[in-house]
Amino acid sequence: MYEHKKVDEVVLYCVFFLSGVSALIYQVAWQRLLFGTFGVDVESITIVVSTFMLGLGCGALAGGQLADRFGGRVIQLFALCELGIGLFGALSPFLIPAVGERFMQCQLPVIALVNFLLILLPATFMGATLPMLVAHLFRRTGNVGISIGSLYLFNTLGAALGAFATGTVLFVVLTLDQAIYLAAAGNFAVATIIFLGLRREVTA
Amino acid sequence: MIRAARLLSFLTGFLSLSQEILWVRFAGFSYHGAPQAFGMILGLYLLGIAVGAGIGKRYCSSGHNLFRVAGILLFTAGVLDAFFPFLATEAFGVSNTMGTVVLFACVVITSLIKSKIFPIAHHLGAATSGGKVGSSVSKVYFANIVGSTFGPLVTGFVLLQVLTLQQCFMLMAGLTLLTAAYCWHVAAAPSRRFVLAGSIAVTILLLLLPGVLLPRLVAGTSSYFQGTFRSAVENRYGIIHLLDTPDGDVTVFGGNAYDGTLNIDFMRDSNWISRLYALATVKPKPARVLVIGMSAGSWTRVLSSFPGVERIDVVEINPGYKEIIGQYAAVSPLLNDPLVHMHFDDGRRWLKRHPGETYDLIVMNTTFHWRAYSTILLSREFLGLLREHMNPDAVLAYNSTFSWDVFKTASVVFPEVYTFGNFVIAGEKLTLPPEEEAIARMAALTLDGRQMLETSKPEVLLKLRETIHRFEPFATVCDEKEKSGHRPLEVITDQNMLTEFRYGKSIFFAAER
Repeated sequence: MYEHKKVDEVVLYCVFFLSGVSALIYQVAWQRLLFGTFGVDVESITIVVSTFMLGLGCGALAGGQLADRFGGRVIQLFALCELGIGLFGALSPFLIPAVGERFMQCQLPVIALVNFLLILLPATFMGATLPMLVAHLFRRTGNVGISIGSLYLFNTLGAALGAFATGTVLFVVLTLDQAIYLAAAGNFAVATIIFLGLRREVTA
Repeated sequence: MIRAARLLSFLTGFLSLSQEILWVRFAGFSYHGAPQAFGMILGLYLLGIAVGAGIGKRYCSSGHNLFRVAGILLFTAGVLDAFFPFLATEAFGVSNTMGTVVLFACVVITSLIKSKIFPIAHHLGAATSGGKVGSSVSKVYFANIVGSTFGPLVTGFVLLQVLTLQQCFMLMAGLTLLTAAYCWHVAAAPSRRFVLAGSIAVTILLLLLPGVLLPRLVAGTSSYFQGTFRSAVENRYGIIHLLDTPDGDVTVFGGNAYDGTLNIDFMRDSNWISRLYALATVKPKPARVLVIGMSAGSWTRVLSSFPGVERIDVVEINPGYKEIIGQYAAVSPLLNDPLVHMHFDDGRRWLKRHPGETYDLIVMNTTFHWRAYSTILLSREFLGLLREHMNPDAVLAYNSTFSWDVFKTASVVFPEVYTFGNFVIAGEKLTLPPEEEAIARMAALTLDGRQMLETSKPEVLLKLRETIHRFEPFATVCDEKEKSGHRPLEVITDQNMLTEFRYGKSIFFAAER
């Protein structure tokens, strides 16, 4: 059945590339927002980087479980994750400073926890996307190494572009918030392409 | 086998992210803290990871013993990891362009080789039968991410605090060799014990190498100052180093950018310390003083000579400066001065966490306006925060590092703004006293019971008169700038970060020699 719902492989690589671009714009931009709120010392930097990674890890575990449970509908789940990331991204320019002001007077462990909870949701969604797409693509290739290698290649190439572009282009021509909205637009575009692709295949 | 694959995934994540932290520090130092350095290294690292993962997937269908393949790859990575930091350092000694090309190549190759392991570990650790592909892959991926989480934590928080940058690079190279030995062991390849013993021995030798990396890197990337490398303090907050200049001064650098010179002598003025003396003309008796950015303490030492000072709060992000201050007689009394209270914290955070503290004089030793995160201290938003901490007739003084946008920003927050060389002097109401009164105010500065300025000497008096005539209203300077064809000056905000990105230096220019 899920043969009907498979999105074209090239499109899959392209959207995962775009997802990677958005992810790194967020990482660099959120770092700026969080540093402006909580401080730019090594404690803040470590908290932000580690929280991001931990969120990705939680997402990876959850994404793997969901991929096995939902089988053929995993691609819809992927699109929903992208939608979730985009929604959080669009709200983050208001949310992060507001939460920062609220907890500024607290001790470092509380600030670390607040940071963790702030970034956890989008980072979990981001982490979940890779195992979901690997499981989806494995049905076609039958080889985990090849599936993950290809997907990781495109996603990370996108991430590299996001990292380059944020410092050298986006922050030159856009404000911090505008760069974040651009990343959110990327996530919404990914979700839209997946849903439109599925619709086309179902009706075909 | 699956557990070994997860461990391999964890270790490569740990080593990869640790190495990234080290390269970011290396690049940040080489480019004097240019804001693009972080994104550039991150992007290059990701590029290497992407290409490596793309190549690595081919091994998965090759039929080779994949642990053995991983062992060979990691052995190669370990050798290069030990060699590359020195190679990049020497390349910067040739030219900035050469340094940049070699640095970028080293970063890409470093990440590329390790990331070839990524698909291999997932292939080895995945259960391809029983419909558990997703969950089994996710566990290997999770192990990789746990390693990637611990990498920055352990390296950024612990290792960089107790080891030098060179030692951290060498430790990571050694751990990569040990991981290669582990893969060799799991693959049941020949000479396993020999490989393990050899890896341990090489790791120890690498850690014992003499510390040459930092002095060589300083020699290769010092763009503005000539001098001989004297010493350095390396900790998790950054790298502070000192140079002996040909004029006999000791110059302090934070993150390889000029921070100050150890001098409090008005007449010597090798660090333009006269700017601090001049503050006495507009704020002769400040009871409460705030210093943001202590550096090596010359400014704070002069401020402690102002009459009427009851308390000086100093906020400095890097506690390493305390160690330097303790070594020099001109500033070391600061450490025992009962008026001086040091707080090692981020300036903006400290102010937000101390809303009730107000001051008569605030002085900021701001770094170059084009460096990463300079916006945090130069933006309209931060100046607004400072204003909340200023008494009605308080004065704010800080270094514009010759960015006219910095003056412009001050002028939209404060009604009165003067320029004094590259200093911004701002407040609600600023009154410049007549010349004789200004001289009298500066002559009143005393330190340890001794007058700071010998006004009986004609040369001192002459320099004093020159000094007090350097105040200029910013409005006048701004008009002259705009008439001379300078682009319209703009206001720096947290959002536009314009001195860092729009009008900042590129990493290529920042390291021009």
